[in-house]
Amino acid sequence: MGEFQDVDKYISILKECKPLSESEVRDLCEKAREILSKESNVQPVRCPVTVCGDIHGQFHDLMELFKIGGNCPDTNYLFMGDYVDRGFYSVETVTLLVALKVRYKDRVTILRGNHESRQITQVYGFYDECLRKYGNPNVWKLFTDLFDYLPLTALIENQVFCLHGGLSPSIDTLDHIENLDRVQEVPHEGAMCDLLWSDPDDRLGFGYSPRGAGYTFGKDISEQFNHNNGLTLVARAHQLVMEGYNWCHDQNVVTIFSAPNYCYRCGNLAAIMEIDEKMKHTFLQFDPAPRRGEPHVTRRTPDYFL
Amino acid sequence: MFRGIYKGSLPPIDPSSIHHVENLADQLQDKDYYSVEWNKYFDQSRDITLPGTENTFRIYESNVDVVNDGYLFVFLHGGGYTSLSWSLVVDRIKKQNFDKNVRMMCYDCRGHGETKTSDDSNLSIETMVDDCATLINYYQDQIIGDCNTNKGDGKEDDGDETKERLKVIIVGHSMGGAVVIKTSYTNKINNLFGLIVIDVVEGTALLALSSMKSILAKRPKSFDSIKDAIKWSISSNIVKNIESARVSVPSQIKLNPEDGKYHWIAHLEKTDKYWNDWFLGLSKEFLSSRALKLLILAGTDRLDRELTIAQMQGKFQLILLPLCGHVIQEDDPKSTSDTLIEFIKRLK
Repeated sequence: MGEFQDVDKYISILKECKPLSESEVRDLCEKAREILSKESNVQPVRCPVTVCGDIHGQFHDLMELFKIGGNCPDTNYLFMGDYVDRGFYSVETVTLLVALKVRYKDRVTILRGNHESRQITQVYGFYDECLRKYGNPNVWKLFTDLFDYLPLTALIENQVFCLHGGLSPSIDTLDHIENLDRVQEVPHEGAMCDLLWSDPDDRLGFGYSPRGAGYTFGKDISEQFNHNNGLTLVARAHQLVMEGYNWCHDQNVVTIFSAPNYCYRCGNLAAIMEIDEKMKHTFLQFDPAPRRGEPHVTRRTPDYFL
Repeated sequence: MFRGIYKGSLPPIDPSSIHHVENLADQLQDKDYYSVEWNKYFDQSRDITLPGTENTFRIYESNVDVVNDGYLFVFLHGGGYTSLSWSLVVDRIKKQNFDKNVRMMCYDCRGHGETKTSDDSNLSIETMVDDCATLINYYQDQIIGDCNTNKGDGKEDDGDETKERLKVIIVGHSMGGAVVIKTSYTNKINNLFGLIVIDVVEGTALLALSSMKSILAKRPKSFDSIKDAIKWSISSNIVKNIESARVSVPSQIKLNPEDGKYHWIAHLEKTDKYWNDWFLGLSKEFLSSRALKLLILAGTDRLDRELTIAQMQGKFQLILLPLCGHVIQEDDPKSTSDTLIEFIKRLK
C-alpha cells in the first residue's frame, strides 16, 4: 500500500500525541480536501458504525475512546464535530482524525461542528494552541480552510440522521440540506448555522436559543422531521450531558457527548453509540483516561473582582 | 483592578503573535493624559433622591426621548469605578442605534462617584441590591412614566394602551455584575428582560479574593494631579484605552483640600467584610434567572465548573473578548457595544 505510506507514518507519530510538521499538515490537508469535497452535505454511511460526539482537544480521552470502541479500521467511526478548542491537544486531535479520514475514507466520517470555524477557534483556544506549537498561524489557517469542506450531516442506512447541533426552521427535508452551499465559514444565522448550533428543548416548536445562535426545537418538530424523512432517530452532539448520552423527545433524539470530564473540570462521563449490522444500538460510557505528563488542571487565576 | 497572574503550566504564548499587545504607555506622551468631561458622551445627568430616604444617586442618561416600545439599558459599574466607566459604550450605542429604540441610564453606586447616601460605607450586597431595584423601578415609574403622561395631549390614557413599556436590560461589570445577578434573582425589577454580566464569575472571583487586599494596598493612596491618576491607570495596565481613562479615572478621585492631593472616592479597602457575600451563590443565581442571559468574559479560563457545564448545555450566551483586561467595556467599547446591540437585534 505505497499510496498510504506517508499517512501511515503521520498516524503513528500522532498516536504518540506528537504534532506533525507544518509541511506534513499541508500535505495532509490537501489530501483531505480532495476527499471531503466529494462528500455530500448529507453523507451516506453504512452500518455497523460507532457514533461519537464532541472531543474538544482531549487527545488522551480520544485514545481511550478507541480503546473502548475499537481501533480504526477495525471499527467504523462517525464523529459529529467539535474536535478542537478548550482541551490542551486540539492540534494533535484534529490532525489525527483528519489523517484517519484520509487513510480510511470509507470507514471514517467526520462532520463539522460549530467549533470548526475561524471565528470560534480564535477565542476558544485552537488558534492560540497553533501559535504556541508552530510559532505562526499557518497550521490554523490550513485546518480552518479545510473545515469549510466538512460535511454538515450524515445519514446511516437512511434511518439515523446525524449532525452536530440540531434542526432548523428553514429545513423540512434532507433535500433542503443537500441544496446548501456548505463550503464557507459557518454563518451567524440561517440553515447551515442552525444545523451546527440548535438544541432540543422541552418547549414545543422552535424557540429563541439562549446561546445566541441557532434555535431550540421541541418534540413536535423532531417527530415531524423524522416522520417526513422516514427516519427513526436524530443523533446529535453539541451539549454536555452528564452520563455521556441522553435521550429526549420520546426517543426521537439522542445527544452524545464524548469528552469525559469536559474541560478537565466538569466531572461528566463520556459515551459513544455503537450501531451494529442490524441497526441495533448500544451505548458505551467511559471515564477520563488516566493522565500521564498532562498539565495539571491549573488555570490562570485573575486576581480581580472589583 | 486587574492584573493576570499566570499560574498555569502551559508555555507562554509566542510573543511575536498578534495577541501580544504592546504597552500602551510606551506609545503615549505626557500631553496625552488630559481629562475629558462626561458631557462629551452622555446627553444629560441628574441627581435622583429616592423618596423617604436621604440617598441621592447621580445618574447619567442618553436617548431620554425614548419612553416606550423599546429597551432601557441600565449600567452598573464595578468596585471603585463610576458611571463614567460606561461613557464610550453608551456613546457608541447611541450612534449605532439607528432604530432609536434604546434608552440608557447609568448610576453611581453607593459610596462611589457623586452619589451621596446616609451610609456610604455600607456596601453589603443586600443594600446594593435594594438600591438597584428601588432606583430602577423609581426611574421607570416616575421619570419615564412622567414623560409618557406629559407627552400626551391631555388625555392621559389615550393611545398609551398600544404602547409597550420599555423592556429593561441590566448590565453589570464585576461588583456591578454581582449586583445585577442578585437583584435579578429577587424578581424585584419590573419589566426585567435581559441580564448581561461582564467579567465576573463566582468561582474565579472567590479564588481571587485572597489576593485582593494586597492588590488594593499596592495602589497609590493619592495623586498630585488628575493627570497623574490617568497616567497611572494606563501605565499599570488597569485600563488599556486612553480615551476611556480620560473620562473614567477623574470621576473616581477627588481633591482633598487638606493635603492638596487627589484621593480615591470609594474606600474599597474598608469593604472587605462584604466581599465574600457579593459573589457567593452567583453562578446558581445567574443560571436560575428567567431573564435572557449574556456573559461577556475576557477569557474562558474564568468560567467555573458550574458555568462551564451550563455553557456547554446552551443555557446562556457567552461572548469572549480575550484581548481585553478586566474592564472590558473600557478596553474595548466597540466590541462591547456591538455585542449589546446584537443582543437586542436578535430578539425582534
